[in-house]
This record gives sequence, C-alpha cells and structure tokens, in this order.
Amino acid sequence: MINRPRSRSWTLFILALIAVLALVLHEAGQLQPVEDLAQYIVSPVQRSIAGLVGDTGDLFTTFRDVRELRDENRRLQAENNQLVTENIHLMELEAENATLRDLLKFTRNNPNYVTLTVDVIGRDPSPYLGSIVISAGQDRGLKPGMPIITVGAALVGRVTQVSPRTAKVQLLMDVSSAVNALVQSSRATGLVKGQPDGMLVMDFIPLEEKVRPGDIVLTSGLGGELPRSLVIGTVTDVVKRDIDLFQSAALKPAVDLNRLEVVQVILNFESLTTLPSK
Amino acid sequence: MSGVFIIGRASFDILMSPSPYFTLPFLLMVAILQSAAAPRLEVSGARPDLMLLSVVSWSLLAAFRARELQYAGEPPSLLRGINDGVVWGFIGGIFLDLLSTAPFGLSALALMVAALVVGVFSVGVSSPGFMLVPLMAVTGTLVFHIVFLAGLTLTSRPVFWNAAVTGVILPSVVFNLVLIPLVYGLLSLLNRQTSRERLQW
Repeated sequence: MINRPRSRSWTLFILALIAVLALVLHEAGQLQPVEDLAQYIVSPVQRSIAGLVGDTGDLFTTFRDVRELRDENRRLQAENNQLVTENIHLMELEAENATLRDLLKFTRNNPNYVTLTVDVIGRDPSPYLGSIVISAGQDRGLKPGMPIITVGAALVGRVTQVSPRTAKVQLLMDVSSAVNALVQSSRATGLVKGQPDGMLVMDFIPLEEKVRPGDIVLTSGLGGELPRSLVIGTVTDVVKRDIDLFQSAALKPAVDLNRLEVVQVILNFESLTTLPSK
Repeated sequence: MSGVFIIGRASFDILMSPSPYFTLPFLLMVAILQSAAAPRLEVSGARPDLMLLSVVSWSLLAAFRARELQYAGEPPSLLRGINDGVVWGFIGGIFLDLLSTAPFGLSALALMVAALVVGVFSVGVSSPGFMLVPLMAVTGTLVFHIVFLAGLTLTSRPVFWNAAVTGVILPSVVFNLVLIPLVYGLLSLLNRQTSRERLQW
C-alpha cells in the first residue's frame, strides 16, 4: 500500500519514455514499418467504421434533405400554380387591354362621339334571334336606337330595349335588322340585312355599280338612323343577274358577332328613326 | 304498396306542385345559363335547350307520378301530372322571355304547349318503356320550335322556315337527344331527394 504511489510514478515515467522514444524513432524514420503494420491491420476496420458513420450521417442528411426537398417542392408547386393563374389572368388582361385600346382609338379618332364601354352579359336564348344583353341601361343614359360598335369602329347593332340597368341590342345578323350601307370603293349604296346563318346580305345595289369580293362595306348614314362610316363587313360574293333590277352581295361581318365580350355605345348620336321594340 | 300510397297521398299531392322556393330559383338559373352559357356551346347552329329539356323532364316525372297514383285509384291526379310540366313551362318561359327580344310570352307559350303534349302523351301511354324519355325529348323539341316559329310568323317577324328546320331544329333534336339523359337523370335525383325529405316531414 505504501509503495503504490511510487510504482504508479514509475509506470507514468515508462509510458512517457515510450512516447518520447516513439516520437524520436518516428522522427528518425525508424518507426515506419511498425506504423505500416498497424495501419494495415487497423485500416479495414477504420474504413468500415468510417463507412458506417458516413452512411449514418448521410441517412440523417438524406432525411433532412427529403424534408427540405418536399417543402421546397410544395413551395415551388404553389408558386407554379400561382404563376400559372397569374399568367392566365395576365393573358386575359392583355386581351381585354388590346380590346379597350382599340376602342379608345375610335374614341380618340372621333372626339365628337361620346362613348360608353360596356360588357356583354348575355345573348338571346332563342337561336332565331340575334340580340345581346349589355351591362348598362337607363342608369347610364342609354336609349333605344343608340348605335353599338366594337373594335375597329365595327358596327355591332343598335339598342332596342332599355331597362334600368341593362339593355338589349339587336345585332346586325338578326333577320329583322336592316342598315343603310355603301361600298367603300365604289360608293354604291344598298341595304344590309341579317341572315339566319349569321351572315349578312347587302341588297338593292344598283346593277351598274361595281362590287367585288374583298370590298369594305360601311354605314352610309342615310336615313339618319346610324352614324356614317362605321365598318359593317367585307364582300365575299356578288350575285348579279341581268334579269334583276338590283344586284346583291354576301358579306362577312367585320367582327365575330357570336363572340362579343366588350362593346361601346355611342351615347350622343340621336337616331332619326325609332326602332320597333321587337 | 297500398300502405305507401296511403302514407304518400298527401305527400304526393304536395310533391306534384313544385315548391316555389325550389322552382323559381332553379328555373331562373336555367334561364340565365341558357342566355349566358348555352350560346357559347353552339354546334352547327344548335345549342343546348336547357330550359326545354328541364320542362320536358319535369313533365315526364310528373306524368310518371300521376300514373303511380292512377294505379292507386286516383284519376284526378292525371290532370295534376300534366299541370306540373305546364307550370314549369310557363315560369321557365317567362324567365326566358325576360332575357330575349322575342315577343314577350312566346317562349312561355311554346314551352307550355311542349309540356302539355309531353304530359298528355306520357300519362296516356299504356306501357312507358326506356324509349319514352328520348322520344318525348324529340317530340318536345319539335313542338317547341314549331310553336315558337309560328309565333314569330304571326307577330310579323321574318322567319326562314327552311333554314330554321335544317339549321336549328334538326341539330337541336340531335343535341337534345344527347343531353336528355343527363338532365332527366339530374332532375330524377332531385325529385327523389325532395320526395324523401317530404315523406320524412
């Protein structure tokens, strides 16, 4: 018991000496074979342990990455959905913007006209009648007979019935519709009428007048029912027979009257004729 | 079965008069759809006649209920069966007329006549088979369009009969034949649902 501290001192001294000796031998390069042998024995175990530790570490990293990726994927999907929605909305706005810009062009080019831009909110439920319902009525000063136009100063029709907040518009293609018109190039006059198939026919064109496919047809303003020079459509075919008193021309409307979304009402045009409320 | 009818007698009576709380908003919604959505679904001149199909379907359902009551020995219910469809035709037609530039009342009249024809035929037929529904859809479509066009002619509107037959009526018949199972099926479900609620009440 008395000698134990002394023996422990000796052990420490010997261990320290071995360490110093090993250091010296290592520095002198004499310990290399021993070191190589030890490395040879230890390295497979070391590699296995390192691999195991590495895999375990990767497993934790993988779990973390999967969670992060999932979160990121969710976030990106949400972002993508939002961008798709925004894109659709922007495309819609762009189309609407283009329409409104074109409508504004007409307003700028015709400062004498006071116009009101309105939405088309419905169509006639009957397939035999060509009319639309617009989102303005007496509240915005609409009256029967007012002309309705759309992009490119294209004539759409005329207001026929006005309610407090909506109005019904008889389209050019309605079979009851008749509009005084002229061919832009030859100034030949006639009457444009709606057809059951949605097309238009310009009738009562004098035989001696020259009308060709591709000619533009405008409102003539005759009769004071509509302003002059609104675009009606383009001639697609001409029917001319010597036995007839007049020739007629098939017209394609300037705009697709089945797909109207926004139109303009010319508010300060006083029609000289009153439309029957049909 | 007799027990069912004894219990159901009052309930069927209530059922056969469609509740205004259901009928009015439902038919208004159909009319709005007919005006706002149906024209965009136009194919070869034909568009879905949602109101007509609803009226025809309801007429058929009313007629079938009336037949059930007839077997239970209650002849007056036959008239109720016919009336139901006609009431729907009137209300639905008025809603359509509000949205149309057609002479006011013409859609209502045409739908009422169509419902009447469908109702009378369906109540009177001896053995209603699965072909009765499409057959009545075709009949209702033809009657509705003919009455409507006749009304336009009588009120001095220009009517192109040839174009109407080939460009609108025939395509509409095909369109309605395709759609009638859907509309009839939906209204049958609705009818069954409301009848269950009423019986529970």
